[in-house]
Amino acid sequence: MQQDQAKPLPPGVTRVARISPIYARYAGFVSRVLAMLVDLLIIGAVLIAGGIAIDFFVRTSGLTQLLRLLSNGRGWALPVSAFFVSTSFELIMTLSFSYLYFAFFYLFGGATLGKYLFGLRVVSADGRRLTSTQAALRVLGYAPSALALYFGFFAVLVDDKRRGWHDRIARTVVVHSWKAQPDEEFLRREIAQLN
Amino acid sequence: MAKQPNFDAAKRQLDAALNRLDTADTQPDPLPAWDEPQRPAWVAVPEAPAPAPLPVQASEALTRLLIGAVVLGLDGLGAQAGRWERAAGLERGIPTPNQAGLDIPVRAPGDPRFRHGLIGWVFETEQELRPQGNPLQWLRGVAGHFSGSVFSAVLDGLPRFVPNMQRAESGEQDTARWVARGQLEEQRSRAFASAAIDDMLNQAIPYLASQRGVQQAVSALVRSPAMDDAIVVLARREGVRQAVAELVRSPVMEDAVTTLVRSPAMEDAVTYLVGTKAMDEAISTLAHSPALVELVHTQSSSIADAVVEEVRERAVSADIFAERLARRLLRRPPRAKLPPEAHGLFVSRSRQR
Repeated sequence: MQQDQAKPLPPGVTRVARISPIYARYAGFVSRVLAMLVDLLIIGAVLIAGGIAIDFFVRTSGLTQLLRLLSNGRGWALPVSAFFVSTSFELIMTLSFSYLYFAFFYLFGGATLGKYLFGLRVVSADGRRLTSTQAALRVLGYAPSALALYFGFFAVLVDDKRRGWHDRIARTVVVHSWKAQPDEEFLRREIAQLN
Repeated sequence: MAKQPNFDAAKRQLDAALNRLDTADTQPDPLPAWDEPQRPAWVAVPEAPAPAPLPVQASEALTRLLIGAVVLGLDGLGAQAGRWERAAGLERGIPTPNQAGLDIPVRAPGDPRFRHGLIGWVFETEQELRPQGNPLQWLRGVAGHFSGSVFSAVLDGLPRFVPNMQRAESGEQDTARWVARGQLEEQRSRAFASAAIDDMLNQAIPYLASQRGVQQAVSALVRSPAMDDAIVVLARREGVRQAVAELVRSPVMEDAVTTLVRSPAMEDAVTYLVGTKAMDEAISTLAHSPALVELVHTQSSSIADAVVEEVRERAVSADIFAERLARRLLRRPPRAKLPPEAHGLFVSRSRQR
């Protein structure tokens, strides 16, 4: 605030409009789990719908026949079983889409659809919007949180700022945006300054 | 030969049986000369119970209802589109200037095989996805059906080193099977949806007519001065007259009107309307009233907001409860107050990155 007052205003600008800081409470474990369940349902629905579309397209478009024709007599083969390839494809598609889903919404808006439904928002520890690095790190941080028997998620229950391991990795916090309220002290100072 | 008498007796029985075969169509069967006591010719067999009807599969019925509704809707849209084209003076089969210059033939309507294939595929998918057995195996099967089968189909096109590896069913056979099933299911779905929609309408109209809120809304609507003007304008339209005539002739509407007339809240309104002869038009206009549509929309939005806020409140309460429980299990002191608040969701532009 002191720095803002000392800084000279640009020519032609008589008043700087700024949005005040807003206080919001850190979101707890149950709210975040419910929001995550909503997100997983959305991801599952999209993957199933995409699978239906691709399945129908492959079966009816003649792609199978085309591949059979092109590969006839050329000795194409795979060194692994079809089950391994199929399972790997499912896993890669699921992880890739999940990563893009979470990273996109964290970066643009700070909340996935599930978090939006429950009024949650992911912000930096200092209140700023997430950077692209933070968004990517937070999604990647789900892996160690989950692989350690989900202790990384249960850490929200005991952490002072209700942070999970992925929050600590990315230096983020999750807050309730639906109960946010302006900083009264800040508003008082701003109004006094305007007067 | 101690067994000679038995042999002769058996021979006589065989001869008699052969004779009966020859004369079976014209003469009654003579009694055979059995040496043993005769068994009755006919034995009373208990009548087998009729086979129990198969239980209705809810998912199959829902699929059939959805498919049938879509097919019926497309049929109705096609019929209505023809009337709209005639009303607009459009003619079919006229090539566009580009087509005429390049001598591009006008294409015939689409092949129904695609529609049948799609319908058949939907029903086959529904059949394969019915929950049964171990839930985990079922979930695995669902995932494999939608994503794994994609790769199975692609891999089917590739030759393999292992000659005995079983190939997937070819796409042509799949398509032919879907088309055959789709032809059958389209007819079934259309009939099923038609019956279901008729039944639902027959039940919905008397139910709505018996609701006090609807009765009060109708009462307030018919009393409004703007209704008189609206009725006059609507009564001049030919389509409204036809719709009203059709509604009046239907037995369902007769029941609905009877229920409305007998309700206490409608007595005054009916008395008022008896002289206007506009009651039937008012009922058909009710569904298109902008005020009523706006009222329903507003009420729905506020209810949704209240539900979301209630869910969030309960989630916050569950947050606190879960933390208390976790701290008690871990023998940690209870949190004296909520964690310090996050400072600044939104910051000024100068502090943005």
